[in-house]
Amino acid sequence: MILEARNLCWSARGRPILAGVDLSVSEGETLGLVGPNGSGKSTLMQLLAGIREPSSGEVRVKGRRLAEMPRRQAARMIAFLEQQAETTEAITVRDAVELGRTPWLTPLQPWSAEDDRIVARALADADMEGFERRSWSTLSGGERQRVHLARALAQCPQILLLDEPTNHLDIQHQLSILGLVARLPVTAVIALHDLNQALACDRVGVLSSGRLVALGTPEEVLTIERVHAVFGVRVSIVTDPCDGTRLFRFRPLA
Amino acid sequence: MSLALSQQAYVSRLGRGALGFAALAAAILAGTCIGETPIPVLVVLQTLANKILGAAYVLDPIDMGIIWNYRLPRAIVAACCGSGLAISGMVLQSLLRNALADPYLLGISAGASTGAVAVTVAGLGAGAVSMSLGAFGGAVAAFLLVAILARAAGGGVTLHGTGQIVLAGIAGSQLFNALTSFIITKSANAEQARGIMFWLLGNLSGARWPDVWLAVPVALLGLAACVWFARALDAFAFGAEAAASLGVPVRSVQVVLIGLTALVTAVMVSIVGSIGFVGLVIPHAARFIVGVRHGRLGPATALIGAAFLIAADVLSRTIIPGQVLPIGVITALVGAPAFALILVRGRRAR
Amino acid sequence: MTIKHMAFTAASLAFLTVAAAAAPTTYPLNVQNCGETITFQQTPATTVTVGQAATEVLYSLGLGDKVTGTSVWFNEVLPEFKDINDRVERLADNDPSFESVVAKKPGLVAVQYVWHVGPEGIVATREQFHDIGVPTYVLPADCVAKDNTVGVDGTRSEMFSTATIYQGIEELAAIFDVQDKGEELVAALKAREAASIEQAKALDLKDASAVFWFSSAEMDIDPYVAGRKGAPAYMMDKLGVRNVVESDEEWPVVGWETIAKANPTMIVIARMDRRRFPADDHEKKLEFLKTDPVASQMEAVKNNRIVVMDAHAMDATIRTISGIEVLSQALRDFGLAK
Repeated sequence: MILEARNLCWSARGRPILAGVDLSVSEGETLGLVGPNGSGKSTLMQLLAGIREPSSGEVRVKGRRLAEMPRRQAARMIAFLEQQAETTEAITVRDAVELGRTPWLTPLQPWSAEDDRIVARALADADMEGFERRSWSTLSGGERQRVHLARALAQCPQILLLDEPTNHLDIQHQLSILGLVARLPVTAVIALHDLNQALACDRVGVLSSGRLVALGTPEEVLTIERVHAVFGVRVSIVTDPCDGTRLFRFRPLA
Repeated sequence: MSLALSQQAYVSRLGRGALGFAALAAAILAGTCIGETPIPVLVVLQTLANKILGAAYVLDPIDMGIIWNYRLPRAIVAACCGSGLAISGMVLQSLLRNALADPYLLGISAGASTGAVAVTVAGLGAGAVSMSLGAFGGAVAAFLLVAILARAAGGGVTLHGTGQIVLAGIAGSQLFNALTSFIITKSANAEQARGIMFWLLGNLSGARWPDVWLAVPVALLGLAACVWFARALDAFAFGAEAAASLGVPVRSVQVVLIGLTALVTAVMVSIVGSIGFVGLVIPHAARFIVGVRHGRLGPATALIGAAFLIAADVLSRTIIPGQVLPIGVITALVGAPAFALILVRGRRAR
Repeated sequence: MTIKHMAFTAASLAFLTVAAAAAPTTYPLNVQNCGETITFQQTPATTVTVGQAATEVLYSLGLGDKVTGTSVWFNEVLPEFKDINDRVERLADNDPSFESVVAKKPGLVAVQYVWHVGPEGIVATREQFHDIGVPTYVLPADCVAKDNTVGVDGTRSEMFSTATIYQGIEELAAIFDVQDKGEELVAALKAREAASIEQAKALDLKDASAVFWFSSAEMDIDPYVAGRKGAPAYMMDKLGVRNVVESDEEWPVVGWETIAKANPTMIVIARMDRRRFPADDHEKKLEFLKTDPVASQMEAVKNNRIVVMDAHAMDATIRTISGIEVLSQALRDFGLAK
């Protein structure tokens, strides 16, 4: 168990956002988190990343309590891709990706050629080669998302937490990111809106009103009944003739 | 190959540092050569040679005194203040993600004014406390109040608290400005009010060597903090949460940096009064010239701030012959249009 | 003094002299005072003062019994008036409130500075007083040839002159119908002033210069020094001493560098009771002059030509005449005669 959440709760101003979430992620697996808006996905991601403190409960990374770990050490293991990280600085793409090396740099270990190599690799993986000198403000939403991904990759993490990484991305890039994450030897937890993309994950967790109502393989978890109950839509399962994979087709309730 | 690269980087960094230091020395020298009364550059150089190298040029003792005891310490204090205030502004702008942040945001200038006025006008401390000390006390008191208020308003110095600090700072500033006005209207006559006003607008004329021994270490402290925390400050580019996910211990960095900023600003304000625009404008000018990476931005901000304040001080003494203008007036008159220029050119560049 | 000034002074003197020699004041009396015409139906029975200078003029005219309230004090009252003053209620050390003044139901409010009762009067405007039937009189020294709306202390269009002091005394004497006392006082002051000027002339000074140092906001900071148009400038002008300060403001801030380079022959420092700035204390001023590395090199400091003068004499008040005497005496003591 590389990442565990035990009885995680979080309330804001007395209102519970997350209640009693128990979750464990195995090394190397890709866990998808799905749930309607307001179900607490982002909050859970932030708690797992350690950038928000739970009201009660704990998160453990490789058995060690995340709250007790120094931030730098945690950042060397966990990279977190937020939903919307914006800046008004006149920052270049290269600058932004180089930030990913922050947890690995100390006054005694300053920037080296190895860091250059890692940054170049991350840019390539995120398909942002050639964008190094571009200013942040000139990028489109999708390009900015890919720069964030490159930054997360530059952190060389063992755990990648991605909060709705496919927002703003066109189809090609959506597929390539998901494919990349699947190929990388990292453990990944991805919050997704698209249930079809969730089908490609090793396991899926379903959040509803702050509770984890299901956790298991996509077939076990994403049943027609559950999708109806949690998401409020009717779904039919169809099979793609070219390779036999299952797909969802959605229809409104009425 | 990697060794050669980092050696190259090291040498170029050293070279840039030497260049920066030379520029600073040149600015201080210029500030020593130009003043209210004309003294030939040769005399200035000979005085410096006498004092530093032990040469034995025969010079008018008044000239020597002016150069060594008035102008040189004042130029050095101006440099320290300029860099201290500029760096404080830069740090606050980066930490609070607010391009309009400046060191007085934390209520420090308003508090210093109240402290100075309380000592001189209301007679607090019964003459045993100097105006500078009163100003420092007021500055610290105001900052503590703002910090407590920010904390009470919602978690204070945490990931989600930067908005609260700005608002608390505004509230604190308003409170202390009102206190200042109250004390002045209640107890001051025209002369006292005028004395305070002049001081409040910034005044480097009393700077002597003892002030140098205070200003230099504090300015160096500020600069050292900038260099040490350069990467952490870079990491704040996308916000406090992103910084946390990049391994920056956000709360402790915010506490240390904001505390240091307050200290540097309070000391500078207590030495020279309230000089505006430096903390606001200089960081932007520096960003425009060297970019946003704090490894370079910090020293550049310090250097430009130092040169700017030296120039402003010289201008304040020479622009009207035989009279001294408050330096805050000069920085505002220069700073405001400079700021407008930066804004416009920055937009076009994008 | 300019021709215009002399003519004005001569005319008013003539009027008042004629009036005094002829008979006591005839009421109703109209007085032109600082842009207003004030009418007195009879001798005011009581008066409240706003400004130490006005207080001391009234005491000098022997009108201490009529003063029911004083305010705005800068230092201790002149020693010869101490007993009288002890019997008078002090409304405020600084600015009094409007109500405290009118509660005394004074027949006249005598004011030193226009800015206390001017359009933005700290106490009240003159109209407010006149509306309730209380006349106000501002010492002419603060409004003749002076625009109080410009500059912190107002701006003089011409150099101050003791003629305005005498005018104030004479006008107040007329108002209170003690013109013989007024004449006596003016004559005595004029004689003292003339004597000092004569003595200084006898020294035949060549290029003596001076600076008047009032105080500084902090000890080492640029000082407040006398400009070219105030009472100190008048003193220096009359005694043949050049003012090294070239500003027309009353008390401009001039850097020590400029003063040191100008190297005045003597330095006049102000002694006062107030202790708001450390430099208020004349001992501290002396210490500064002797220990500051640049100031101590000035000719005046090295030769100990430092004059300590009552701060209030440096304002346009009745004490200015003693200031002239002090300065004249100092010139002789310093052995500056050629």
